Amino acid sequence: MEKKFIVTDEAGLHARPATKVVNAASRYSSELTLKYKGREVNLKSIMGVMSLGIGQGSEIFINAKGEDEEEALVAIAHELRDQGICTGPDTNI
Amino acid sequence: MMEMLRMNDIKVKDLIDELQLEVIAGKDGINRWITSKMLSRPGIELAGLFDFYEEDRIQIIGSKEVTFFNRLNEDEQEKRVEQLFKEKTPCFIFSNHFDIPQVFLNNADKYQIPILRSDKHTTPLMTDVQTYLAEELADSTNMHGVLVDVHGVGVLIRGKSGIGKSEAALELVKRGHKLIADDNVIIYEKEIGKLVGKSPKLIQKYMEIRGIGIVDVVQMFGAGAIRHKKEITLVVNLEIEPNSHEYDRLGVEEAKIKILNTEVPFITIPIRPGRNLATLIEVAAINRRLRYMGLNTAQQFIDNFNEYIQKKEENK
Repeated sequence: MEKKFIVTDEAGLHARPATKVVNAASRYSSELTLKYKGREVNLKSIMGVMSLGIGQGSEIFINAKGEDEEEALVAIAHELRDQGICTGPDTNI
Repeated sequence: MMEMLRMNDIKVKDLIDELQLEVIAGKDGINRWITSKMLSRPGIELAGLFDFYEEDRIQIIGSKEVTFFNRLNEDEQEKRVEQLFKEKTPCFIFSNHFDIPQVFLNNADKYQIPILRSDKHTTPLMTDVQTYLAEELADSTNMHGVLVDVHGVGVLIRGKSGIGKSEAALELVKRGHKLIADDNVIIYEKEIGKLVGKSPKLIQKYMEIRGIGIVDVVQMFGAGAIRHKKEITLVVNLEIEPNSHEYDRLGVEEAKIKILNTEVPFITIPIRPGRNLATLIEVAAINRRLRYMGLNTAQQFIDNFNEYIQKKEENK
């Protein structure tokens, strides 16, 4: 399953919150990826996520595949919201 | 899973910067996009045949074209040159530091298509432009993995996150091999059969090692510890489940993995405690190199065995 988010934080998906999201993702066994402008990276990899240089206003897609995909996606949505990276209805799941 | 993208979108001004070309006219057009990897030399068009004009390509004008142009009468010059300036034409490049005929300059400004000049001869100029375009406009994708140059073999290490790709790469770098990219490798197809990997700019020279954090490879191991890009000639997949499939015990058959349109040799190394991953990857790389040089150890081993059995049979 896949969900779209819009990055609203003016600093983009920057280092500290990115780490939190990556850590949250790492707690799940599902395969989790982040897609941005056609490039897809492993959401459990801090280098992967940071390498995309995602700025404010970017549209990102989080894809989850595996046994705990639903929980994982909810947890990531919450983490994105709690870290202030994405606001708005995106994260209400 | 794999999405094919163009490596970069490029504009005429990128080409100008890269190849240090001089802008002679049509400055307002330097933001035009370059969409074709191919070049055109519009000699036949100057002779009046426009049926095959490749208007979307960069037009290269060398001594042949200029000499021919000078033999045309003024009316032909005006008419034919103007016909070269099309909606999709990105730019014109003159070689040899030529004095560019006025009619070209006038049209450049009129249609806002840049006229550029190089001091190179036509053939090396075309090679430069083509090499640059081939790389920038190549089909590209990205993959999760670590790319290391091991004894000159570009090894893409793959496997689930947390399996120890970066740690293996760190050990390899410590042994004098070179890191290209950690955890996200941009791969482009320079030509079919030739894949080149490089790092996204933002993470170049950095690695993440769990428990330690971000490591600056250049500061720690020296400038010689990284490479900007490298052709990928071996993919090594690290796997944890010991019984997930039968491993190739002899290494006779060569598995391949398709990335973009290119097949690359592919091996799976099972991970177990006590196996030294860096050494295994080094050996895999050297083995790959030997094979490239024509030495297939596994085949040799089997041939020796068969020969031995045959002799034994004959002596019965």
